[in-house]
Parts: sequence; C-alpha cells; structure tokens
Amino acid sequence: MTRYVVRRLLQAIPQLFIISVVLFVLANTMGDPLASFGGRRRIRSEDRARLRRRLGLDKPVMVQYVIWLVGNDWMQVDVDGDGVADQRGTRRGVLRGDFGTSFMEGRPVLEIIRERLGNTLLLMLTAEAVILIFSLAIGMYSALRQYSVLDYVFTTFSFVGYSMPIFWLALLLMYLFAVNFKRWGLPHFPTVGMYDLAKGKTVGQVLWHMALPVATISIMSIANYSRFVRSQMLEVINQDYIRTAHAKGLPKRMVVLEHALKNASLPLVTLVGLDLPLLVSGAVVTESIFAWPGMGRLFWDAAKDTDVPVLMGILLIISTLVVIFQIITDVAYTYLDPRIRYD
Amino acid sequence: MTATTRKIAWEAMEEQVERPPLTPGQLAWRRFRRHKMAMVGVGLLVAIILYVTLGPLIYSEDYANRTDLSVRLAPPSAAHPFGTDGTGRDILARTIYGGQISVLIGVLAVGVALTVGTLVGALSGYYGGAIDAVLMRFTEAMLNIPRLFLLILLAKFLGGKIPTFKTLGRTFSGSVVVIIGVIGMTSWMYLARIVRANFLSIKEQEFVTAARAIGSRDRTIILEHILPNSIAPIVVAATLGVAGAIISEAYVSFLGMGVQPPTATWGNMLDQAYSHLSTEPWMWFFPGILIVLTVLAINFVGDGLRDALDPRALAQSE
Amino acid sequence: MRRTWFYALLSMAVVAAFVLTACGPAETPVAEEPVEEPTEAPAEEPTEEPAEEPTEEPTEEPAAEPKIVTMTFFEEPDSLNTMYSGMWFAGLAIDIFNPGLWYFDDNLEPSLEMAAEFPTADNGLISEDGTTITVPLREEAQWSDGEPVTADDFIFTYEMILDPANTVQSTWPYDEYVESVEASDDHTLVLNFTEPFAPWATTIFQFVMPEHVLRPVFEEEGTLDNAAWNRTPEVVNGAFRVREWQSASHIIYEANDNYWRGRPVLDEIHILIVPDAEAQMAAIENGDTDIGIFLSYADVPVIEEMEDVELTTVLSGYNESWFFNLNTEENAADAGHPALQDVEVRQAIAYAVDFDAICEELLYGKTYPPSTKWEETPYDYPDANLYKYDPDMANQLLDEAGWVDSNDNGTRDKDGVELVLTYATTQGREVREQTQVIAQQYLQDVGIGIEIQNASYDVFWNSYGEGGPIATGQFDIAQWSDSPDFPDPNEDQWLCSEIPTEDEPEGNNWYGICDEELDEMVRAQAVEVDPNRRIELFHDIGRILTDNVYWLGVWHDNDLWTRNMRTQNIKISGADPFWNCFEWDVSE
Repeated sequence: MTRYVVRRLLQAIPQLFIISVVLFVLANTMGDPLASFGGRRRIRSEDRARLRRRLGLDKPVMVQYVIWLVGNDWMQVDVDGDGVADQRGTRRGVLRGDFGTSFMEGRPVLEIIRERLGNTLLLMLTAEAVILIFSLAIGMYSALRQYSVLDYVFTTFSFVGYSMPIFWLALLLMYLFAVNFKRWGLPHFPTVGMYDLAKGKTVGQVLWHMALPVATISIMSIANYSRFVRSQMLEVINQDYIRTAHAKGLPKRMVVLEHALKNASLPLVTLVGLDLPLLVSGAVVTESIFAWPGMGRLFWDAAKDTDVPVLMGILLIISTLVVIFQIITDVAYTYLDPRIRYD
Repeated sequence: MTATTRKIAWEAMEEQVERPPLTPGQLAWRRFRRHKMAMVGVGLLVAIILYVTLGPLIYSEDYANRTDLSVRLAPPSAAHPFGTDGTGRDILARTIYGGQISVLIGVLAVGVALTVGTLVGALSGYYGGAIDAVLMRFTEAMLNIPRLFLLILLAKFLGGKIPTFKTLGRTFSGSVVVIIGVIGMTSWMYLARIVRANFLSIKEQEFVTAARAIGSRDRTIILEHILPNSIAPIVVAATLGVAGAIISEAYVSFLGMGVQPPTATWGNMLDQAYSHLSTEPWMWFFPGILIVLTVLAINFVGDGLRDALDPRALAQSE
Repeated sequence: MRRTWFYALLSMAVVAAFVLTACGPAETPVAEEPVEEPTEAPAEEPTEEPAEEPTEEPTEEPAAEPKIVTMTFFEEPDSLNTMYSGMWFAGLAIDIFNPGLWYFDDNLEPSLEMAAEFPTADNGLISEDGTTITVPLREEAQWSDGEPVTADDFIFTYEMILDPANTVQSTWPYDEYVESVEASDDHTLVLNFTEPFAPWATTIFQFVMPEHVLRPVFEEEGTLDNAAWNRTPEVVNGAFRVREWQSASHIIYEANDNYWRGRPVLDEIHILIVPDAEAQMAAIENGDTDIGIFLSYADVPVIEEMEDVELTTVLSGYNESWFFNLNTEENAADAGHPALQDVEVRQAIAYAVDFDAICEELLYGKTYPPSTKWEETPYDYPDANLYKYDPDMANQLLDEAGWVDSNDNGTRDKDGVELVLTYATTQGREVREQTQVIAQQYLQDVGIGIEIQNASYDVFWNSYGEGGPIATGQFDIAQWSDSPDFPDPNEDQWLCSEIPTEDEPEGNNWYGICDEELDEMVRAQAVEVDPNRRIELFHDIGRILTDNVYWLGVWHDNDLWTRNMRTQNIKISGADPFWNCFEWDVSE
C-alpha cells in the first residue's frame, strides 16, 4: 500500500509539470494583461512598453515560465529600461513558495487567494452538507417508495433541475425570494454580498446571506445525486443479503439504515470525495451573481483581465489538490471495500 | 419419461424453434420501448428537431434578422408569437435559427469528443503498457483541471481567431467553430476512460484471442471486433454528452465567451435577455424552456438507452 | 460499515483543516477575515466564531444612528494610490479621501482643495509665456495625523511618479511637459513647463501623497510598489479616511476630523463590490445601495418605476463615435475600403443611419447624437452638420460617387469592387450589439453591405506593435466611446505624426487621417494660453471633423447614475464625481 501511494505521488509530479506548462502557455497567450490597465481610456504606448518590461512580459513565454517556476533572484534584470540588466530580480519562484504578484492588484498571489478561500469554503462545505443530506433523504425515499406520487415528483424535479443552466436558477431565486418577496411585504432574503455592512459580519448575517447561493448550488447537485442514490439503493435493496436481513426479522429501519444505506452511499461518498477539491474553485457564476467574495469570482476576474500569476496560482493549487484527493479516495476505497486491492 | 412429459418437452422445443431468440439489438429496442420516459423523450426530441429544421420553411433567415425599432420589446402577440427582442427581431424565428446552431454545436462537440476520446481510449486499452501509461497520465492531467476553468481559458484563447464564414446557405460567426472545439476538447476525457475500461475487459475475451490467432491485423480487431462490442456505453455517454454540450454552450455564452452576436443561439439569447429579466420575461422564457426541454428529452432518452443497453439485462433472455 | 462515514468525514476534515490553517488572519491589521471550522457531525453547517471588527467603537454619541451612504462598484479598484491605477472606479474611491490641488465640480468649475487660489493669466499666477504656473497652497490643510500639507508633499509626489523604481501606470504628462517642480516656500508651489501646456489644470497634481509617511517607506524598500498605504491609506488629506478594505467585498470610510473644511456631515461611506449588473439593480431597488453607478440604458425603464430612486445623467466628456479607416496602401496599417476615401460616401453613410431613432428607442430618449466630440462643453462647434436621417440623400450621394448595384445582388459596387464594409466594436455590451444590427439594417437598405467583426475588449485596444485589430487597420467602420482629457478638450489622435508606422508603432491615429489644416489646428490648441482663442480653434477643429466626416457621433455618452432619495446634497461631477462628499447628507 505504501509503495502504491508513493508510486502515485511520484507519477503526480510530472503530471503537475505538464499541466503547469500547458496552462501557463495558454494563460499567457489568451489575452493581454495590460489591456485592462487603462480604465476607460487607452493606455499610452510609452507607458505600455514600460509596464511590459516591469511585469516581465517582454520576454519569450518559456523564459517567463522558468522565471515563474524558479524565480529570478539568481540573475540580473533590467529595471529602468536602458537595456542594461543591472539589478537582481526579486522573485523566488513557485518551487520555493513564491507565487508571484498579481498584475492587477500588485499584491502577492497567495495573499489574495488566502483571503478568498475561506469565503468559498464556507459556501461550498455548507452546500456539500446540504447536498449530502437531501440527496440521501430523497434518494432513499424514492427507492423505498418506488413509483409513489412523491417519487415521480422527485424524479421530475431532478430531471428538470439537472437540465437547467445554473445561472438561470440563481437569478430566478434572487428575483423571487429577494426582490419579489420584498415587494409583496414578506420577509425577504438579501440580494448581494456576504453581510450587511451596517449590521457587521455576524454569524446571523452571513447565514442569512448564504441562504440563496447555497440553495442555488445545492438544488442542481441534489437533482443529480438523488437519482444516483436512488438507483444505487434500488440495486442494493434487491440484493440477497437484504432479503436475508428482513428474513432474520430485523426491524425495517435498521435494515435500511445499517445495511442498505451504507452500502448504497459508498459510491456517493467517492463522488463527493472527488468533488471536494473542486469545491475550492467555487461556483464561478453563482458567486458573481450573488457578489460573494470567493475563489470562483477571483478566477473569473483573473481570466477576464488575463492576470496570469493569479490564474496560475489558483489552477496549480486546485490541480494539486485534485491529484492528492484522487490518491486519498483510491486509498480510502480499499478500506471501504475490502475486495479492492492495489499493489 | 412418461408420454405426457415427452409431449410437453416436444411442444416446448417446437415453440422455441418457431420463435427464434431475439438479437441483442432487438432486445434492447424492446426494453427501450418499455421505458415510458424514454419514449416521451424521443417524441420531444423529434418535435424539437422538426421545429428547427422545418421552421426555416416558414421564417426566412432575413426575417429572423430583420430589426424594427418600432416593435422592440413587444410581448407575445399574433404577429410575434414569442414576442420581440431589444431590436425588434422576432423571437420565434430567432429560436428556430438559434436552435439550429445550439443543436449543431451540441452534436458536433460530442462528435469531436467522441473521436478524440475513442481514439485515446482504444489505443490505451488495446496496447496497454507505455502507450497506456502516457495517454492515461495525459488524460488525468486534463481531468485535473476544473472543466469550467478550462472552458473559459480555451474560449478566451481561441476567441476571435476565426472569421465569419458562410456555408449551407447561412452565415456563421467564427465563434461557432471555436465553441464546438472548446466544448469538445473539454469533454473527451470521460469517453476515453469508458472506452479504455471496455477495451481492457473485452480484449481478454476468447473471440479476440481467436481473431489474433488467425492473424487479423490490430486495426481490424479494434474496429471490427472490440469496438462494436463496446458500443453500448459509448452510445449512452455520447447521448448524454449532447445534453451536457448544450448546457455548456449556454454557460459559456452567459459568461460572454460563447457564440458572438448577431449569430443567435439559445445560450446567447439568454445572455441578451439578462438585463431584461423581470421586464421582458418572454426574452428568456422561450429560449430557456427550449434548452430545458431539449436537455430533458436527451436525458430521458439517455436514461432509457442506459437501461436498455445494460449488459446485465441483455444477458438475460426474454 | 461505520468506517465508511468515518473515513469520508476524516478526509473532509483533513482537507478543511489543512486549507484553513493555511488561511490565517490577514496581514494588514485593518482588513479582516472570517475564521471558521467545520464540525465533525455529518449533518451540520460549519459554525464560525463571530469575527467582529476589532476597531469598531461607536464614533459618535451612542444614541444617534451613524449617517452612512452606501454605493456599489462593478469593479474593485486595483489600488488606492492614483499613480498605480488607471481604473475609473479607483478614481472614484480615491476622490473620497485624497484630493489634489482642486476638483472640478458638477458645473466643471474648479473647487479648490489643497490650492488656495486658482492660477489664471489675470491673477498673475500664470506667467506671460505660459510656462510657469505658481500655485499658493492652503495653509490650513493638514493630513489626518495632524501634519500640515506642504509643497514638499507635492514635490515628493512628482519625484515618485518619475522614479523608475515605481511601476506607475503612467508618467504622463510629467515626463513630457513638466520641466521641474519647486517650492518657493512651504506653501507655494511653482510648476515649470517646457512649453505652454494647455491641459495643465486637469492633469497635474490631481492627488498628493504624504511625504512624511511614504519617504521612509521608499528609502527602506527602494520602491513604493508594495507600500501598505496603497491598499489602506491611513494618513489622508480628504474628508474621509479608509477604515477597512476587504478584497472583493467592500471598502469602508469613516469621517476625518482633520479635514480642512472640518468634519464632514456623514459618519461613514460604504462601497460594496458587486460585479453583476442584475445584482446591482436588485440592490438599488431594495435600497441596499444609495448610489448606483454606471448603469446601462436598458435599465432606464426599470429605474424610472422605482419610487425612491432618481436617475441622473452626468456629462463626462465621452461620446460614442464612429471612426473610419482612411488608411491607404502607403501606410503601415491595412488600407480601408477604397470607397471610404471619398467624402461623399462617408456623408452618405452618415445620412443613411437614423441615429436619432437609435437614441430615442434604444436609449430611451435619454441622450442624442452629439454634434462634435466636445458636445455640451464650450468647445463644441454649434453649427456642425448633424446629418439627419435622409436615405434619399444617401442614395443620391452614393450614385453620384459612382457606386451602383450593377450586378443586382442588393449591394452597390464600382469597378468590380463590392461596397461591403467591416464594422467592428468591442464584445459584450448589449447596447453596442443592438446598435450594430440596427445600423447594419439601415446601411443594407441603401445598398451598403456590412460584415460585423467584433473583438473582445482587451484584444480590441492592442496597439499597432501588438497587432491590435483596429490599430492595424482591420476595419472600415469602428465604434467606441472615448473622451479628450476631460474637462480639458485636448486630444492628439488626429495628427499625421500619430499614424503608427513600423518604426514607431506607438501612434494613436489609427484612422490614417492626415489633413494639413486639421493638423495645424490641433497643434495650435495644445499650446494656446488664451482660453477664448482656444475655443475658436476647437470650433474650427469641430467643423473640419464633421464636414469631412472624419468622425461621426452615434450618441452622447453621458454616465447614468442613480441616487436614493434619502440622500441629500449629492452632486455628481463628470470630472471628479465625488468632489463634494464632505457635504453629503442623509435624511431618515
């Protein structure tokens, strides 16, 4: 087992390298970081040339990649544009933990990511918990009461929910529960932001503001996963050992919860486990619509502005987490299902 | 045996001879037909396809693009059953032409994904060894990048590089090609894995060994023996992939990186309706409902196909 | 099978803990962070410690409600230091706490801030030849920490802008036009220019940095790029100081008692970052924001229905315009369609499109086609030809120019060349996309074919050297909105010398216009010291631009702002929008 894990980790390293090169080239060539600098006016060409040089954009892409990776404090750079490289660089490179500075904000990338990460996790972990509970509940109910009215309702709901674009749902919910409820004089949810500035960042405020974004994200996934749980449960319920448990006279609830549910939820747990690193990326569109200051929005803003260091920072962190999580899940799976072995 | 038992046995044998066993294809079709939701899905899909292919006979493309400021933002009426948009164009006509493109994108994107995915999966599964290792590491590398991020990056990278072109009597924005490529390039990974898994299991079976023994070339074995037997999961994945591609197009267009106006797609019609959400709901309702219905129909059909082509079910006889 | 749950949760907890320990409290002491931990039980939401603002003390009598105005920004400022940011939203945020010599009020008159007097030729503060300007500084102005604002602060600012160690956005106009900046005493600033520089009032010292705070930082770090002051300026000279800036979420200002006019009326100003237009509309409607900024025309009908909200249009100097590609084969950029070389064709294009209808319908009559680029300013040429919609005239002019539909395909042609023009603008703005299809229809109706070829915002603006589509001439008609150095009318994009070439790809004259008379006028206005003579020059410039249709006005691009009726005294200026934030008030 340890050998397996070590082997996977070693394989992961060249993988991450390839990913980083591909993404770096893509990020650098997909747009012009300086275009967003000028605000409403065009930026003057002389200033452009100067900024290019300062940000290191005047070098070929592969050289920029190397600098990004290992830094440039071991070489001289030309700071003032006179063609003479006479000052030491200041970057230490990703391999030494320096993810560089954001083009747009001028602050270290890690600092920016750190600020947003907590907000996204708050949203996504809550959503994930809600998704798990509801998927299991609905899936179980549907499986146990197959073909009942509620089952059909749930099935239709999940199909429709799964067929909808998420931003659709987000706006629908916002207009219904935030704007229209207020118009009708009902207690209403807030529209945007993480909390009301006037009331401060209290638990109550954040929870209240979290409701609609979490609902949006959850509904989509519940639609998907509840079907999955249902089909898994159906499969499990028809198995012989369940029948044996019934025959042995075990109370129905015990049969369902202890045997059926736990077996059926195995694959679900795997799916959720693999989803976890993607939690970090946040829901790009949902965060934008509800103005939630998270990682998804950070990525979208960085992509729009071609803020390469931020983009690379986010992508690298997520890719690394995904790789690690795949390994964890695979290992965890051997504990969960003793029939599976690696060597 | 007694006389009665012999008679019963004989009659049973006769019955069997008169009613030959069904082929897997026919079995699958029977199971599919039984799946009520799948049949509803098929009906819905047929209706939608008729809508986008026969619609142009009633509404010409010029009519669909005709702007008329005097009737802009008009609610549904006899003259404009789906209302008009911000420049006075008829929404019904636009959904027809937009539907052509959305469906086209969905199908072609899956085509791209299918080609690449099957190629990678087949080579990987059949040859194994170093080829498998390299291809699978590459596939996993691509899978490690969150799909939406890759979509955004590729769309931005390729956007604007292809100019407008005319074909099949319509003018297409170059961004259509870009979107097809982008969605295709981000969806092939799952197919590759499925195909590879299939190949891995099938290639150990006896008929493959037999084919090799008689000296068939690798290519023949892959194309004529293994691939046809792994059709089932590929078909299901491809069908559901079309639904996913249509939603991806809506997503990317909503972010502003999809097909660029004035070419219409259901996705970018939703984007254009964004600032008219509560005041002109017909602008988002009709394209939105068409997306939902199409995707729903495809999901039903895919669900039915999955049940029908389930190998465990096929293994049992009728 | 309990292990199922255990391992699943263990994994989740491990990752959450790992990630969350990595996000410790933020470094800047003024900004803050939620710190929370998920619980182990399977079905609960993560709890969090209520993270109260550490410096939150009531700033006035506990009984009164603080007076707060809230506003929403589409984009987050990239920096709160003017020299590091070109963003318009950054400018708004900076208006609140960092005035320079003066602001321009809502009538575009100077409102003095750090300056005690406005230099003119009459009061002798501008020298005869126009190259020396003396600015007496306000003696009572001080920084929020009590230090007085002196000429040294301005000289320091000037030095920092030009110092190559600072990655500033732009060194203009200091590098080209300012010879030196001196202090004849603590409160008198002397600006020496290399030649008379007409736009000096709107471009020089629109902000100032505190020398006593930042010089030590510069000397220690060698640059101001990473100064904390750029993100959280604790020492300010404006009506408010920055209390907190939480990235992607909000900026909070609180009243500055040391402002030279005295403490402002409001206690706090809150800026919320809301990138989504729909979300901003909902916030305006709900009263979650008092000021709505930079709305789009499509929102107008919705806003007009809101009871407590007032819509204002603010002159900002921007005009949405059409520019034509008059490059010829001799220029480095791609030549425009040969038809465009003929002024009659351009006039026909102007007559063919009903811009008035576009403004009436698409823009809800909130604006109109401008007569020149200096519409609504004294520099506007009042007798400009407006090219009112006249398709018959358009057809006539095209016929006279020799462009007729000889092959009956619906599009005019001449000498075998079809009259099909490429029409380009930026992607992503609804009203532009709509204008494009409507204009396409109008032009099609007079036999001019149009191919729409848009580019995304960042690609569109690339310079010639970077292969930008407009700069390299890959258009025939291009549409965008720009302004001169508002409120100053200066612009140089019409000069022959600004046409980009292989050797000098920096030029702004992407249209290839080289008109001797125009050139002479544009050069003359840049050094003209007499304001009346300058106005006359701009009348001529406007006349040449419109008679020759070198430029065509689509709509006068005023900014749309909304104001909640509970606010008072908010007067938005097109030049310095928040110039009078010290007198803003709210009624409850």
